[in-house]
Amino acid sequence: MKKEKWINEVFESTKNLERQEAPAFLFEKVIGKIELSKKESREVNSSTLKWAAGFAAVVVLTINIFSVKKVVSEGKHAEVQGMNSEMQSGLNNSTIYNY
Amino acid sequence: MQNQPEIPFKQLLDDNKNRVYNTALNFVQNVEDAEDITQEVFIEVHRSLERFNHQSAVSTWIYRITVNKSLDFIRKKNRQKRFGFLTSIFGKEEGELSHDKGHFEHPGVLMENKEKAKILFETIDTLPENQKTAFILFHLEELSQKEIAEIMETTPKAIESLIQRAKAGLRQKLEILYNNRGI
Repeated sequence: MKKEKWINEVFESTKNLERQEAPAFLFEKVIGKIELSKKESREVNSSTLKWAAGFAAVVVLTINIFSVKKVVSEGKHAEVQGMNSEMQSGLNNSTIYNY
Repeated sequence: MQNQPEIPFKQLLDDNKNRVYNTALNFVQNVEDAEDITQEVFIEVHRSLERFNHQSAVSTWIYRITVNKSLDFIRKKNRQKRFGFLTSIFGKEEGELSHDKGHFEHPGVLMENKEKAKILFETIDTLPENQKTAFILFHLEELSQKEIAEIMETTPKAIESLIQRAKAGLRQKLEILYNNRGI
């Protein structure tokens, strides 16, 4: 019975709970937080744009560098190939001449 | 429904702030935390006001936001507690847990009932969220089962069942506590 009595007292402990007044200046605090959040959001957007522009520039530059490298490398390859075929034909000719 | 006159935000806040604050207090039993939750609720109200379709009463809508924000807050605190426990195992330079455990500080509880009320709230905290919500709104906020059903978007019958299960669960836990404490 003692246990039941104790449990009932625990259940009853929140009876006559006094209602509290909300904190003062709540409206002002809420509006302040809303304004701050808007300002931070604008700053994040501006910062994000800058990062995005920087990243795009890096990507374009990287593509350009690779393209230029490829063109140069292809050009060299073509030159070497040209030299090779000249040499070949030269050798062939000399072979002919040797005959 | 669509041609409801717009209620100015300040009026909404003034009409509902006490209700929101007291509900939050009943969920977290800490003045500072309840104040934070109250602010979060009205920030959300401000953000969502245009999209509110008046399918429920404004008070029901605000209660729903209050319950959700309170439960979010508790979940966040519990995550911080778990993280704090882990850091305490693996050691932190300062030797302190990273979370701040709020102390019981419900100003609405009468002085002579404080100890037992603390036990009750701690036990309520161990209930599943839906039982906890139904119990708090019924016993502490003294809402009807119909009102609670609208807030929780379910039926009065379901709320009745939740409250019964909550009470049974609380009773069981209190019995164990009584036996362990040797009161």
